Amino acid sequence: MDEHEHVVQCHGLERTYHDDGVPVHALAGVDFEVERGDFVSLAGPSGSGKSTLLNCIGGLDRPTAGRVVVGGVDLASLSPTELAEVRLRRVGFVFQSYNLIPVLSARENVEFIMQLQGIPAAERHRDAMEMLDSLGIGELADRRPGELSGGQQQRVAVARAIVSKPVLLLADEPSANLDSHTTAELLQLLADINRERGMTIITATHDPAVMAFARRRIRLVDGLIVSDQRDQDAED
Amino acid sequence: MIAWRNLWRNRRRTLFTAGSIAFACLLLMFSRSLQLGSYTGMIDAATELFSGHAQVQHADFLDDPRLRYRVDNASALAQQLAAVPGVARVAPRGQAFALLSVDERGFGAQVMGVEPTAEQDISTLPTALVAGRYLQSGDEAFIGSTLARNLGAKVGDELVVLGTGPEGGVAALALTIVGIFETGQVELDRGLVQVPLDVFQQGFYLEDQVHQLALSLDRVEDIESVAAAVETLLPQGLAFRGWRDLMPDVVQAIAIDRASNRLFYIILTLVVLFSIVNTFIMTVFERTREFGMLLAIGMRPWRLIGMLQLEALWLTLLGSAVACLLAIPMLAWLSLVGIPISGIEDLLGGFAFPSHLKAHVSLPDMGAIPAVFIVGCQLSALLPALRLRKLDPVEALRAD
Repeated sequence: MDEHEHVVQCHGLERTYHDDGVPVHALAGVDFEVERGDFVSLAGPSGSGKSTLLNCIGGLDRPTAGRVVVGGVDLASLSPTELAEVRLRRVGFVFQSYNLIPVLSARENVEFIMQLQGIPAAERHRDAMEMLDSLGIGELADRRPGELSGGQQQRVAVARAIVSKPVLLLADEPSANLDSHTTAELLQLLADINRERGMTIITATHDPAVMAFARRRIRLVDGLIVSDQRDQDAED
Repeated sequence: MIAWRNLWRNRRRTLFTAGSIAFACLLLMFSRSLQLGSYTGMIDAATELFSGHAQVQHADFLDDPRLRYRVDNASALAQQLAAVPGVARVAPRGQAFALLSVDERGFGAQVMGVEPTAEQDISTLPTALVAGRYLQSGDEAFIGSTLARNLGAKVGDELVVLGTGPEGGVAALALTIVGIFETGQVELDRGLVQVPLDVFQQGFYLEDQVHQLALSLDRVEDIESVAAAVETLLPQGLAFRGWRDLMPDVVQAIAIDRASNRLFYIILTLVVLFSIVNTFIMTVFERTREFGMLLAIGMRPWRLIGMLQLEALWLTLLGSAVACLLAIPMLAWLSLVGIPISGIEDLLGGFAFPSHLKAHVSLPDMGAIPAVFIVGCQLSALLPALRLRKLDPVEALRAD
């Protein structure tokens, strides 16, 4: 398979921290590839390395050894400024705690990333409204995060992450602060985005419900991939 | 927009910090305006009392006030000086040291020949009388209160003046004391007697000659341009002396006051700037996770720093605007009415001072005060903001 048909390629990925001088191997040699349009869950117990792996793929953390290629770009060769550019234009992030800007409305939060990209005001305003409408929260556009429920905030966070059409959406424990009903709605939303927009999604999670929605489930233990399962129907 | 909204996340802290800036700006505006007003008042009172805003003298007279260092053709020169733009009035004066005696008592003092009408236009000394009246003409004397007390003299007594003429001859005058003055300035009250100029010139063998042509200006601030114009008229050997040359003690008092006030201004400004540093340290600390998120989604650190700098700018503009709105009516009142300060002369070591301390508003200074705070607050906010350059987004996203 040609390298550019993979959105993510990780080869021999290692990440070692030093905790009071003691080396901790968060990733101990991870090899895997993610195809365009895939929906992958990274699962495993706390400390297994799933968040570290997600951070390395997102250009937030640098591996100690190995390579990470995202959308054909080898992140290891990039400067901090170039990494920020990759995060801005190629990767969308959804965080566990929503992390919306509290002084901006839902629409302004979605617009903010386009403002960083230098998109003209009229265009970003239109795109933000379209995105909020498509996610079913257009009527909440003028509300600030403090006036929204957790599920609504996470939908705004998803809108912010995908509005500029990144090649990859990374979600770190996106359902951790949501109840089961809201989690189901969020997962359906992510599944729809994956199916209808063809967006590649990688999520790190403890939640079996999230794993059930993913088409491919990678399990990590002690910084190593111990299983990599793909839905049979997806294979077909 | 986001910077302005961010300010109001912690409304109480923003109001407190902006209030500190407003208070400090207002205090500095008042202090500076009253300081300049006190200088103007001090200079005006001192120059109006006796010296005038400036004088034309022989070039050597200021350092060595001898009888022979005189201004010749004084009448014509006085007319020329009166025509110089910015010169309001001119008063000719002759000056000599002599022995004064009343009955058996004698004291040395300065005898000054003046034109009574011109002198009343340029000097407030004639209005400082405590007994009798001011000079009119003839063999009259107007003497200081301490000198009169030392001589045991009163209005109506005969005053004998014995001095030396320019060529060494004896200069003698027999005068009648018509008035006694008291200014509060020791050297005038104890050591000056005024007589009509023609009597002085006759007694000291002077013709159309004086020792000073005292000038009153329309605006003391224009002294430099008046000096330039006057100097073109002066024959060789004469010099223009501004109030700074004539009253070095006033200049020194102002310099000392400026220095002590500058220290106060610096301390006050630093106190406020420390509170700004503290505010932005708290801001960076409280919003670490948000900054981590912004870095994670691709915002550049310098743009984050710029956002904080913009917040500091809004904060300073808010405080400065409040200060200016409050300062305008208050300074207008202080400029027009002033604060009554009777009795302050004793505190000022005998310097002449007006009865009301009025503010003198200098627009460049009023603009400089908020400008200093704007620049200072930008630097104060930059110290904590620079920490964002090295903020690790992964660590920041884990912050509580």
